[in-house]
Amino acid sequence: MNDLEYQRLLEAGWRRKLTSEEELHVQAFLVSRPDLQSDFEDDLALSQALEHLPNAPLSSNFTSQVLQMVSLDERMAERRLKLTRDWRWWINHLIPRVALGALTVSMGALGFLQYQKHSLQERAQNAGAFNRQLEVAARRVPAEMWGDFEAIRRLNTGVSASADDELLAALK
Amino acid sequence: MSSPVDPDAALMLLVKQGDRDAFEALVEKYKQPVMNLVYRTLSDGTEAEDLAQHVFLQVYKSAHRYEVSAKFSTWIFTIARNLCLNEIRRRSRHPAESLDQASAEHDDMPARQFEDVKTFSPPDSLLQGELETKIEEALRELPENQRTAIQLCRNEELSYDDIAETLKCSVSAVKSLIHRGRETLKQKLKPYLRTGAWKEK
Repeated sequence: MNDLEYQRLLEAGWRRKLTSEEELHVQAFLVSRPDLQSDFEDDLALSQALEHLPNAPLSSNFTSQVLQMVSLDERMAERRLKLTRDWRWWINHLIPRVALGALTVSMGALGFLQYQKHSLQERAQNAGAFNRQLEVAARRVPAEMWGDFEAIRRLNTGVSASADDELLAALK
Repeated sequence: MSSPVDPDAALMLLVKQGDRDAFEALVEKYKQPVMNLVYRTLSDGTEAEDLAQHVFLQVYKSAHRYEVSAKFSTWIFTIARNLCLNEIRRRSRHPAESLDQASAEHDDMPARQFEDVKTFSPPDSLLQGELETKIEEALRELPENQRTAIQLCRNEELSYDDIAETLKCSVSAVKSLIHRGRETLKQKLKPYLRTGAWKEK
């Protein structure tokens, strides 16, 4: 056995108990290398110490707790999935309807505003036209025409067949 | 790479299809090795058990992503180690908070039931107990990667390649970690190791 083989067996001893044959090989090697003897013994003792370390305390219902955690997690995942589905439903069904409703109301409001604006403009135009007619009338009627006003007014009191003759007579 | 006949990987593929019995079988098989790793990393029994349970929950939740690209044991120990490292980082940021507070929503879970597994005969109990305490302390004082490497090394199912994959380093780095860790342990425990109390009877 050489140093390399000794190292290989030492490393094997880290993972498992050496077979009696392997131990004999090592012991035979150590006769020629007494400087390694105590180190090998410490290594062996350490391996045994680690081997005999007790297991960490584990509750007897560990597995059932894990399975329960898994069930709980699945339920929560389902709930999350349902929320996502609900949200998608809102997006797919309700939101288009709400949007359509909002669009209809907006169109109605817009139409009403347009109508109001149009009728205000129309009223303003009418008022403007009336004022213009008044101004034109005031400017164009000659003052002497007002002299016949009383005669014309009297004609309205009684309409006769010879209204035209009476008018002519009145104008003379 | 793992062998295609890894029975645990086969069970995990069943879990992937929603088989609860297969998952239960994996929990039964790995609960103690996972708990040992977590317990010796966190040094707190209650938190260690919470975290070990989260390891299995993580396994279940990740089942749909599971691909047989490595041994199942390598995969689960990697998850356990990552959760431990996260917990250590969390503790360093929020030293006063406990995992129990974080999982307060699990109030409807059954209380833990422990059985006393220590069965020393009275004359041995003092020495044995002291030795155990010393070795646990010495292990706790090791750097995390050395401690994890030494613990995984005791698991005969894991090869050095598997340990290297779990620790995300090379095989030679794993051997170096184990060697350095064991040298430190030997130095610290020398007086106890030489009592011969650990020798197999």
